[in-house]
Amino acid sequence: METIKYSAQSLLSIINDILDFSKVDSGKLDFECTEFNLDAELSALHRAFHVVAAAKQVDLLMRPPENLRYNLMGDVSRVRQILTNLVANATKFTDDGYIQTVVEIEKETETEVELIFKVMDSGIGIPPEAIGRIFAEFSQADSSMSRRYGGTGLGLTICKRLVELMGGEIGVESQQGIGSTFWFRLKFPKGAPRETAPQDGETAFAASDRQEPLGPLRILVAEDNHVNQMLINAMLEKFGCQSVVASNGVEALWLAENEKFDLILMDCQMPEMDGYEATGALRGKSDPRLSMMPIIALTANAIKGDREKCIAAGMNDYVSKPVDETALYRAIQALIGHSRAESTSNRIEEPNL
Amino acid sequence: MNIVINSESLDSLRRLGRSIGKRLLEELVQLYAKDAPWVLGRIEGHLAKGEFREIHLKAHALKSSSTSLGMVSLGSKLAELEAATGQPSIEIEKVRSLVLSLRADLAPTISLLLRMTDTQDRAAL
Repeated sequence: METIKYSAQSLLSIINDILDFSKVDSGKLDFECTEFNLDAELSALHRAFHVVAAAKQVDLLMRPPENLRYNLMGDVSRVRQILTNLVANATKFTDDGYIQTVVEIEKETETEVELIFKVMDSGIGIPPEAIGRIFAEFSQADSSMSRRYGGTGLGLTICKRLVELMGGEIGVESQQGIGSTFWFRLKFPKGAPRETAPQDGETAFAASDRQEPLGPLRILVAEDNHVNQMLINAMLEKFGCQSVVASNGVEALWLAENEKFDLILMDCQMPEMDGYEATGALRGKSDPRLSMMPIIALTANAIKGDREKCIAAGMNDYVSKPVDETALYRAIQALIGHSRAESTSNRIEEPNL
Repeated sequence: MNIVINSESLDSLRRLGRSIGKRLLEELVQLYAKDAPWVLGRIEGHLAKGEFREIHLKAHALKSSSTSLGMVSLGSKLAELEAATGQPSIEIEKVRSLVLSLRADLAPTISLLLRMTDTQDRAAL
């Protein structure tokens, strides 16, 4: 039964392709103009393909433009047809990894927006000698493709004609064995502003934006890894803090002794001197500014007992890597708040001479 | 080969960059694309000399930057290498096979990362 259903679907798809192609080729195609919500279209596309992608253990991702706050005017059924064709193609030729559909704003005026749609996959890719004819009718990368993967070889030709008839352009970049990116550009008149609720990502962004600046804190970042240095510096900048980087424990000790900091973010595993040793050395100093310095451990060893090891070494708290912005914000806020409260209470207890 | 990159991690870095007016994600990706092949080359050099402690430290460092950029599959292989070289008795064949597997995965993973983030500078590859 499954075989009959599959054969019937394949045959229907081939007939539809040929009918569509003959219409497109003879120019007897009408385009409609309706108002549509692009996010809703991408969600529908995801629903249409997620089962087949999941069965192949391929990640299927959709990323709409982040600042598209209005509907679009255009032939939504043709846009849907192009996207469906490209995603179906990617699904066919990708056996592991991902298929990602990204839409970005390229140009925008008061009345019109130009979007670029990209369907990227980690599939088999296209041999360089076949790229030039990939949009030609009845063409697949090689003749064995239609036997192995099926299809008429008309899908991409139809996409190309549709995009061109709508005044856009289409192309492909591919590396054999790495994957392909099919893209197309189209202009749309702007429709009404959207009234829908923000997407999850936007909500998360708004929530993380509600972080109050932590104030003019000067923070020493003891971290040897360049990627993590850049990332942590960016987070601290967002929190309104100033950061100074030390690349190992020896440098961190020297800077802590010779400059003034409110807090240290201490990577546990560093060359020359690790974070545990550097913390031990600071805690052993007679200067209370160093022995009482708030220190937050950063470690990529998310193993049981790691937190206890950091606390035993004299660190005040612990944030695991990869560093999460909210976790870091909360740890600094808690420690600085505590430290400020302690220093206020110390001042109150001091005799007023 | 099954390359997995977490697009949510990339989105979160993109948002962080936007909040401070910088192209943070692109800068991080370029830095990683330049550094990671060099670090893996050093790991291969240490393997040839049997310097497992050095491999352990470098695998840890590369794991850290890989996971910060959402590279799930590469990060987990580096964690395996870190664990395999952090024990008193070392299975040399396992370490060799992990290093070979990392070599096979690194360029396609970086290539995918560059494409997912639309980072143009591919000279590092």
